[in-house]
Amino acid sequence: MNRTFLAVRRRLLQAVPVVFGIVAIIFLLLNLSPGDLVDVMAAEEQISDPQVLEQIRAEYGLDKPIYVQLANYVWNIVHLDLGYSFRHSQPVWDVIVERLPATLILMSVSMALALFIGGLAGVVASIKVNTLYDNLISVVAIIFFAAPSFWIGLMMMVLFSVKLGLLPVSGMYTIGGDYSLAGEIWDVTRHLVMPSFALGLFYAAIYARVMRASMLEVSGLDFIRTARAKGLGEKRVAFKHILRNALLPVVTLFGLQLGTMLAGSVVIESVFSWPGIGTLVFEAVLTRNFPLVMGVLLFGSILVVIANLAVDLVYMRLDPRIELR
Amino acid sequence: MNVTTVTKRCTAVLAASVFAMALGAAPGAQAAGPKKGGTLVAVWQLEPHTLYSARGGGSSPLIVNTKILEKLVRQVAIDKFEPELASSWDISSDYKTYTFKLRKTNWHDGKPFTSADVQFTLKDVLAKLSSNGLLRAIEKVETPDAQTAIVHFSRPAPEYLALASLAASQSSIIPKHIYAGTKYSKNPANNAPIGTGPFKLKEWARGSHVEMVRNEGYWQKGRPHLDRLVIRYIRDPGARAAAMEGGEVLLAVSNPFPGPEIDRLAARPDLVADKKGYDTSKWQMLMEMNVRNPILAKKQVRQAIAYAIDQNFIVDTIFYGLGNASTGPIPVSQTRFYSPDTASYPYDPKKAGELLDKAGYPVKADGKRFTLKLVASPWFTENKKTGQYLKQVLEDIKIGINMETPDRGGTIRQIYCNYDFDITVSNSIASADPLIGTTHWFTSNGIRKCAAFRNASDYSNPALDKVVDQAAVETDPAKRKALLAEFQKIAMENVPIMHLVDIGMTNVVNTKVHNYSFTSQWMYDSWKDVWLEK
Repeated sequence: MNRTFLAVRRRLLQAVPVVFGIVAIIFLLLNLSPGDLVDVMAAEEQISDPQVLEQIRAEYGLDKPIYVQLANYVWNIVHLDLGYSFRHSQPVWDVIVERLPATLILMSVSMALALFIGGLAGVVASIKVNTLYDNLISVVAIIFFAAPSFWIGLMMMVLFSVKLGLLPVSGMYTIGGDYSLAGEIWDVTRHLVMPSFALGLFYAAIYARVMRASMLEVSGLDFIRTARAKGLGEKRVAFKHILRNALLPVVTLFGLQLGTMLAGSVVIESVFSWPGIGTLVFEAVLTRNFPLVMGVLLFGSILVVIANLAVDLVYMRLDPRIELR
Repeated sequence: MNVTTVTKRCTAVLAASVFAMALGAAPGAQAAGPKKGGTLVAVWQLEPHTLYSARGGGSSPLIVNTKILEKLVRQVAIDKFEPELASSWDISSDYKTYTFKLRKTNWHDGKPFTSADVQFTLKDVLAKLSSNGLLRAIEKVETPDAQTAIVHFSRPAPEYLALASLAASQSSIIPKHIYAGTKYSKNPANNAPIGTGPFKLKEWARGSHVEMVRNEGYWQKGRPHLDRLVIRYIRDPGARAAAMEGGEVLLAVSNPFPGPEIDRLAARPDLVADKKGYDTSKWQMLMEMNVRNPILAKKQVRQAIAYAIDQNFIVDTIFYGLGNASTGPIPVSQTRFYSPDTASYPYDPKKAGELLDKAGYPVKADGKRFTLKLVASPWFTENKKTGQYLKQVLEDIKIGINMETPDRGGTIRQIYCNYDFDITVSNSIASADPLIGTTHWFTSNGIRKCAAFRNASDYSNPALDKVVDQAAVETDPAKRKALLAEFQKIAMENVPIMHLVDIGMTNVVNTKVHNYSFTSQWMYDSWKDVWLEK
């Protein structure tokens, strides 16, 4: 365990230059896009005095050369200061922290759903390979993989909210609903059903396909024949021997997709007015509110680094031959 | 009832009667009397970045803060103003001094509202930050007592222009005790406004909604009718429609859905499509032509391009019939200033070709006369479609078009900062008085680098400038109207900007909601008169 601890520490230390590299690249890429925050604000606020514009640029630090701006930004990050969102009249940290929980809830529930549904479907399809079940699962998976998630979301909305009146249309909780704690949890859960399925089903489709392929591959290996020859039951073979070994590619995918899920949630959050980080960053890009974009992407990159580390640790659990170095 | 013919004195009594008339004309008023209570949930597409900005900040902050903050006067129709924070006003014979008697009321934090707040807002905030030339001409504001504010302009202020400017959505009075001596852009009250209005801010749940509750101490007895007002932010039009159909949202203003969707929703028994409430706040779609390009500097070329466009096609096909073809910079619905007596450009591609031949741009060997860069702005989906239409019709008359559609920030930079375009598709809002937000698209002093939604064409015409300068100080309503008719005539004769469509504005409303859309900029009204059926 001590070796693992050292390895984790080393990996975390290695992550620091990675994160700073990401920061520098994003910063430069963002600054390549035409227009800045002051242009957008000037348009919205009908500022007609060029001098005022220059003053605002100076106030926001946008008048300095890019490398100075980058150096300032990195210096602030070292001091754990993500900067100030002039657009929100709030520090970037506060803006993000306000919106982060909603996204984390949506993401974790969708990911759990995707893993569970996709994994299960993949297992069933591989056990019943080339039967009606297998074909049905493949067709459904292709549909959810191909259909855009916003469309699925809207269709669910029309069916479950408008036609059947079963679920709330959008938002995260009932406005002005005064509930007890349990009532509030139930309320958020009801609001969470459609967005988490709309977001999760796409990933479930991928997991189902990967799971099926991986199960089939493993089930052809020698040790499975050995297990069967030992006289183990089919169920035990499938779940103890095949599934455990077939999980590795799914776990890899899961780690990679934690990052992309943040992007996928932009669409779902817009459709369901989910008050998360996705819509925030989308608006921030459009208005060239770069401190905020940088802040969110910084969070995202840290999340991806940590997720990859977690995936490596899970590998070790699943396959003791793998070692963290 | 024309406000300028009424005499220079407008009393609360008179205004109350005007108001009663406005109410009488309002839909739903024929139903049983207003009921108190209830929660109105309205929907808006874009969450604001902040709830108040001293410079206005665009429609998203304004739609919220106009319920919390109030103006001195309220515009209820093109030609009707009524007292809001001012209970009455007097105008000096030279129109340079306006004396406002103020109501006795309190800010939402309990501090009294006084003339010092008016002085602070007008002199220290609006006179410094406003893009409205008249408000910038406020010289000083005297406060002989707590209930009197005397506003001195450095030049004669025509009554209509002055009242419309003070009633504009950006002219809300803000509390001096909160803002004085602070940096306006960083004041915490920007995100939690404190006003005198009928609604108090309860909570801004970021990413979701703004919740406001009734101000029990509101100066007008019996108002507001609603207990609570919620503005929800739903970005996706499909999701907005679903929320409307599911009854979670009762009101959607300012073209919340694409045309066919509005028809579908209005066919439901519980929803109504309503087209009123925008007489002095209407959007137009326009095409700017950059006269820095020597080709477009020729009047005949601009006119030829105007002839090549079938505006009715744009209205019928791109806007699904919701709107009308513009005939100039003032929409047909702004009846006070609209003048039909202008040059017009009926669709005639043949004539367009002839004009271009005459101007010295025959079709060359490559099949084109010349090539232009078209920048279509992205803020309305119709803009891009119109850009594609313009590309087609202009290529029909053998003008090559390279179309670009950058995103919002990129468009603003490209059109209004770098002037990197030949023609554009963009939009303007026709304000109550053309001097507030229309003329600066054409005048020489409207050319200000990086100041968006002003003269980006670089068009400069001393005759037009002179007419506008005169209209800014002409206090006789009839003469002023004639001057502005002349402005429209010169603008349309030279077409540096061609207004394409007066965009039809639609609200979609649940039949439970009553007393809506009766003012001329209702989206920015305080909604204190709205009531809900139980």
